[in-house]
Amino acid sequence: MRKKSLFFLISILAVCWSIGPFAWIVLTSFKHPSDIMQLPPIFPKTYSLDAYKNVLFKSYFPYYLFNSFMVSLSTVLVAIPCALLAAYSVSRFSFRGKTAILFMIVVLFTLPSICLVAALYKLFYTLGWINLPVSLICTYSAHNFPLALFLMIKYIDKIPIEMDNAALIDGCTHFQTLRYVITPIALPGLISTAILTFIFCWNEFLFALTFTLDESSRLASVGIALFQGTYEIPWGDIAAASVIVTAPLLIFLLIFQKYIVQGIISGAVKE
Amino acid sequence: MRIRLQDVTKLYKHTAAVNCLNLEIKDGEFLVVLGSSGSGKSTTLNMIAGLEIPTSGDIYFNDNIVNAVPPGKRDIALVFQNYALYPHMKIFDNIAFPLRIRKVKDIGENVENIAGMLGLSALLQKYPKELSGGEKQRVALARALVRNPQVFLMDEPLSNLDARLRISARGELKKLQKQRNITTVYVTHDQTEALTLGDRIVVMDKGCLQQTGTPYEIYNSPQNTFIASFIGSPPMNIAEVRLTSSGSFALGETVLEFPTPPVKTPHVILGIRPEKLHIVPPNTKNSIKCIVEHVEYLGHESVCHLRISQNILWAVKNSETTVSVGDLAGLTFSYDAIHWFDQSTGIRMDLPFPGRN
Repeated sequence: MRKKSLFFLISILAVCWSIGPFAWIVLTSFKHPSDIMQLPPIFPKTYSLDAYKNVLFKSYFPYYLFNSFMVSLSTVLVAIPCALLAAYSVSRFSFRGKTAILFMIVVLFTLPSICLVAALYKLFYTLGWINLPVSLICTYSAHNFPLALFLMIKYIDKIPIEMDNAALIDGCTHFQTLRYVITPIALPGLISTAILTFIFCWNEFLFALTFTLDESSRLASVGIALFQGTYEIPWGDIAAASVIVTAPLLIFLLIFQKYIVQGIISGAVKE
Repeated sequence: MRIRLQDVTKLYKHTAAVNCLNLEIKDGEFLVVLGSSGSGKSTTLNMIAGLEIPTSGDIYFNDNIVNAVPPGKRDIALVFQNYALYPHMKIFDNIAFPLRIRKVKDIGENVENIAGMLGLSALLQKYPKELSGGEKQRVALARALVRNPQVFLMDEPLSNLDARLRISARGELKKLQKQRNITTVYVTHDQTEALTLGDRIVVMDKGCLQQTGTPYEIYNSPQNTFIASFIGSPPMNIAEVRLTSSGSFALGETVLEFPTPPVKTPHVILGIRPEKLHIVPPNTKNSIKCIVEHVEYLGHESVCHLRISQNILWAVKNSETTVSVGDLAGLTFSYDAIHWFDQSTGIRMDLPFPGRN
C-alpha cells in the first residue's frame, strides 16, 4: 500500500514537471498583453482571445500550419511504407550484407542533424529545391527512417513465424503474406510508428529553418520562432500559436491511443 | 499422394538437423514421426511442407521432385502446434482465407460445410482470442481441411490441449483421416499419440532415422536401445550384463543361469519391458533379489521401482501389487521377454534362446 502511494506521488510529480511549462503557455495565451509581463506572474481576472484572433486571422500562421501538415503527412506516407517493407525483410529473411546494412542505418540514426545541414543545403540549393517542400520531405523521410525501421522490426519480430508459414501454406506469396497477415497484425505498431514520425516532423526546427526561406513555404515550428512584433516580442501570440501547434498532436493521440496502448496480437497463439 | 524423401539432408551452419533421410509415405497412410526435441522431426515436416529447402537430396510427391515448389503450390495443409490462427480475422475468414487466396468459388458453402462437420458453426463470427484451446485447434483443422489438400501435415497439433481433450481429439483426428483417406504426416514427441494414431511410425533421433515400422513392431522389436528406452511408459528396463561362457550372468547380487547363448561378444545389454516382469516373494528360486524403492499407484495398475543394485533401478508394471516401500522382493521373467542389444553399438541382436524354439 505504501509502495503504491509512493509510486502515485512520484507519478504526480513527474506529470507536473512535464505539464507545467505547457500549462503556463496555455495560461499565457489567454492573458491580456498587460498581464503577461507581470512579475511575479498572476492569475488574471479577465481573459482574452485576442492572441488567437491575431494568430489565426491576422498572420500567415494558418499557412504555416498547412505546410507543416502536408510535409509531415507526406513524410509519413514515404517513410512508413519503406520502413514496413524493410522491417519485414530484415525480420523474416536472411540475406547477404544484412548486418552491414543495419549497421549503416544505425550510423545514420546517430548522425546529428547539425552535421548534415550544410551539405544538404548545398545539395538542395544546387537542385533548386530550396523553398520547396520536397527538400524537407526527403530529409525527414531519410532522417526518420531508422527509428521507424527499428520500431517496426520490433513489432514484426513479435509476430510468430508460424503466421507467415500458415499464410504461405494457405497459398500466399511473400507480398500477400505481408499485406493480408503481417500488416494487419502489426497495425497498432504501424500506427504508433506513423504518429511518432509525424510528431518528429511536426516539431523539427533546424532543417525547416534552413531549407525554407520565404514565408509561403515556412513551417509552423519555424513560424513561431520568427513571429515579429513592431516594437516588442508578441508573447501572447507566440503562446497562442504554440497551443494551436500542439492541438493536432493531442487530438491524434486521443484518437489513436487505443492502438498505441493495446495490441491486438493477444489470443493469436497459445502463449 | 505418395511422398518420398531420398537422401534428404538439411544443414544449419554445418550441423545436420536432418541427416541423409530416406523415407517413403504411402498414399492414404497415417505416418507418425516420433522424436524428442532436436531430433529433426519438425525440420523434416517443414521440408515436406516446403517451408524449408533441403540442403541436399530430393523430395518427391508421386513421381515429381518438389524441392523448389513453394508451399502454396504443393497442395498440402499444415496444422501448427500453436494453431497460428490469424488474430485479426473472424473464424469464418480464417477458414475462408486459403480459398480466397486461391480465388475459389462457393467459399461460403465450403466454409459452412467444414464448420458444421467440426462443430464450429456457432463460432464463425467470433475472433480467435474468444475461443478455447480445443475450439482453436478445431478451427486450425477446419482451415487445413477446407480446400481438400492432397497431404495433411501436423506439427504436434494436440500438445497444447489438456489431457482429456487430447484423448478425444486423437480419436476424431484418426477418424477424419480415415474418412478422407488423406496422406498424413504427423510429428509428435508423445509416444502414446504415435502408437495410437500411426499406421506406421518413424522414430528419429539427432537428425537420423532410427526405425520405421508399425506401432506393434516399434514396441515389440525396437531396433536399438534408444528406441527401447524411448517407447513405453515407463520405458524398457535396461542393464548391461556380462555373459559367461557357462551361460550365466549377474544382475545385482543374483546370478541367473541358462544355456550358453551363441554370442560373440560377452558384453551385452539386456532389456525387459516393465509389464513382462513379475514380483514374487524374496528368495524364490531363480528370482532377482531387489528392494522396493518407490511405488506409484495409477488406479488400474501400479508401477513399482525396484532397486537391484546401486545403479540398476527397474520399473515393474502390475495390475495388483502387494509390496510396499522398503520390502525385499524377487523378480522373475520368462526368457523370451528379453531383448538383447549389442553393448558397443546399441543395436538389437536377435538371439535364438532355449525355451523360445
